[in-house]
Amino acid sequence: MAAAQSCPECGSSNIIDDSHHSQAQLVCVDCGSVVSEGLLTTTLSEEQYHMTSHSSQHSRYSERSVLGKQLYRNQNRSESGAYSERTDKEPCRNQIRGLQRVSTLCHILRFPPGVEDSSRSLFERAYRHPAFLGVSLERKEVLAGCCVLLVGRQYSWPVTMGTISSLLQANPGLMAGVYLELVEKLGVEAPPTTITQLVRSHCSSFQLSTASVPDQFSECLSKLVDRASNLVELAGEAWIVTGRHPVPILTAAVYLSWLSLRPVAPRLATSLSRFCKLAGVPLPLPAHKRLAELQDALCKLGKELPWLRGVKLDRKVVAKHAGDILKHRAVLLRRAMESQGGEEVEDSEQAPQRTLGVAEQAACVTAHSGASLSLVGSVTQCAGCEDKELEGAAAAALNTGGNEKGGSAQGSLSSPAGGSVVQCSSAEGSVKPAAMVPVKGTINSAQDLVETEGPGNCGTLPLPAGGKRRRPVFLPPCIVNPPKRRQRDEEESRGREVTGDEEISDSEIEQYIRTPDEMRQFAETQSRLDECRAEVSRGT
Amino acid sequence: MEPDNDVALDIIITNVVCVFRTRCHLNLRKIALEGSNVIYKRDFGKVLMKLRKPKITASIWSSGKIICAGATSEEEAKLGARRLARCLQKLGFKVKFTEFKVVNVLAVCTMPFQIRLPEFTKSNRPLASYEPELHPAALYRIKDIKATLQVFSTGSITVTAPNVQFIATAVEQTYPLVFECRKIHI
Repeated sequence: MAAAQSCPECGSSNIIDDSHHSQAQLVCVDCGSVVSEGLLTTTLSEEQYHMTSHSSQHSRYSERSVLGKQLYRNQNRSESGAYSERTDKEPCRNQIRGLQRVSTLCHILRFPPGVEDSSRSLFERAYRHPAFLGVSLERKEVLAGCCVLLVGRQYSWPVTMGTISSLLQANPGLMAGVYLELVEKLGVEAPPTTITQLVRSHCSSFQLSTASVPDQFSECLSKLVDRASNLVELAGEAWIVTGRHPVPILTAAVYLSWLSLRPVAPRLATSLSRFCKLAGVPLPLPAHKRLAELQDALCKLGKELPWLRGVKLDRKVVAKHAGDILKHRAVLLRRAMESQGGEEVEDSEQAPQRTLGVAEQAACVTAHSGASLSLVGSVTQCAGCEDKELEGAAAAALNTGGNEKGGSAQGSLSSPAGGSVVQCSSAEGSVKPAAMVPVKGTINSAQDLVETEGPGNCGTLPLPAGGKRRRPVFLPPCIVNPPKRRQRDEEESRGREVTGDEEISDSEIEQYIRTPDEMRQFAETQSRLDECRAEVSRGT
Repeated sequence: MEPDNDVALDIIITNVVCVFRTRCHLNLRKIALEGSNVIYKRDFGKVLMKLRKPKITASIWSSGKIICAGATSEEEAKLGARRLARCLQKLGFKVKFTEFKVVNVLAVCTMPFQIRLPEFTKSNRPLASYEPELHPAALYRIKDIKATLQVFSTGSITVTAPNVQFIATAVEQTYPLVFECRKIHI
């Protein structure tokens, strides 16, 4: 590789390339003298070779090297000092690596060629954006994954952020930040992946074929996907999906599906963690909780099966009947509402303190518009909806954990502080003026919002069939287990008028100032503590 | 239920953050020694002082800048800030209560219906963003009033804005948008 040179010491032409640590040197073999050193490349002729048409077009030299300065002398720097804003310049090493990373990710995720090309072009566009020019290398590495994720979502490819971050071994928080910045800066729209889209891809990651596991544990993928999809839909109706990470729910759904498709003794004796080990899938920590919630939801519906009346249905046994429950879940939900949902309510004014669900209001509107109430049990799926809509899986948002008061047909709100009650208007009837109790810290809605008018005495509204209002069967966890709120004094909740300019008496302030004795004791204690710490540090 | 009908919603203010300056240097060691309900954060160069009435927490820097948080109304925040300034005055500092300003108000409002977040996000791009893998709520920003709303599918909305008036404006502007995306049960 050395060019034809002769050693200045001994005249020998036997000169080789050698590196002293990281420094390249030309050394004479015969006498050992260093002919030249300090060049970033071995020889000028080699660099010149790379400049010819035989060289790779992606080669690039440091701007600080002699050759780099010669090559890029006439390039104009931008105000930020970067060359990368030019569109006709060759991509830098990091960009090439990033593009390779994008391609690799696309191959791992088995994207079609069109999706891969879109990912690459998005990455090139993002890499050259000013927001990502001067960022750290770690962010640029994560940017590749974010571009793949964004394009995957645009093509409705079921891929999650967690998958990409684990493939890149990147910090999930960093990935989230880069992804949100990418969406904002480039103005790219990407619908989030719904959990139903992830069911098939998640099921296929479970190795449950006859080649991998014993016969009694193996399961057909299509059946598993169908059963898991139904379970995920039920989970959506039962407020298990909303606000939760999808992967633990999917893992729990697949496990329950596997149990229910063939509820033999060996399977029923297999726990969730053992099942995940068997299938070669990692077990996410929240999966146990999601499994318990799914089993409770199935138990609630399973009680309504005629052939299970009187049978004690618990979490261990419910998997055997999951197939029947899922098959008839619409009817079971309606029956559960009738039997478990609460007392009948005929008139809102005489109603006991109870919260009305939106299902009832919708039923009123629907009845008024002529729709058949026999469709109550039907399932409506909206495109892009996270949850399927089903009667009874409604509006517990009204019940915030505070006082409940019967109001108009549309439901009433009560504040956690136990103060004001607000009534919402509906499409029909008239609302009574809200009985506002001033609450400390609340806005007087009469001041801030426009006047209320419109509908509302419940007695004028057409009641659902049978004149019954039912409490929804499934409630959001935040309603079932409301967070403990600070109990304020009654006086405070009644709302003392605070202007901010009241006089402050000395007695109010004295409680925040230590007495001289307390100061002396505090100083002594502090000095003793410091001495002890010093002794401990000396001892260690 | 038509969105044009006017509704009254209960908006509960949960936190008010305010700042003011004392126009004098504060000796943090002296405050930590002579004040009660005080935590000295030496690493951060500040002192935390907690008042009981109103229930607020104040971060005090030696430059004289003080941030108070935890009040449930703007008036209460001002009262708490004045009490704190008076307390520092009693400790021997020549305090002047100046440049008081409410910088952030956090409020919670609950809608009487559930909200379909994917639909809400789709119809309000680019102001709205929803990433269920990152956060269960959809984030909606209103630039002109600098308000940020977190819209949950249960119907609960958390609003953050520079003052109480903007909170109400934000809820007014957002109500028709979430109303269109409410869950209707047949």
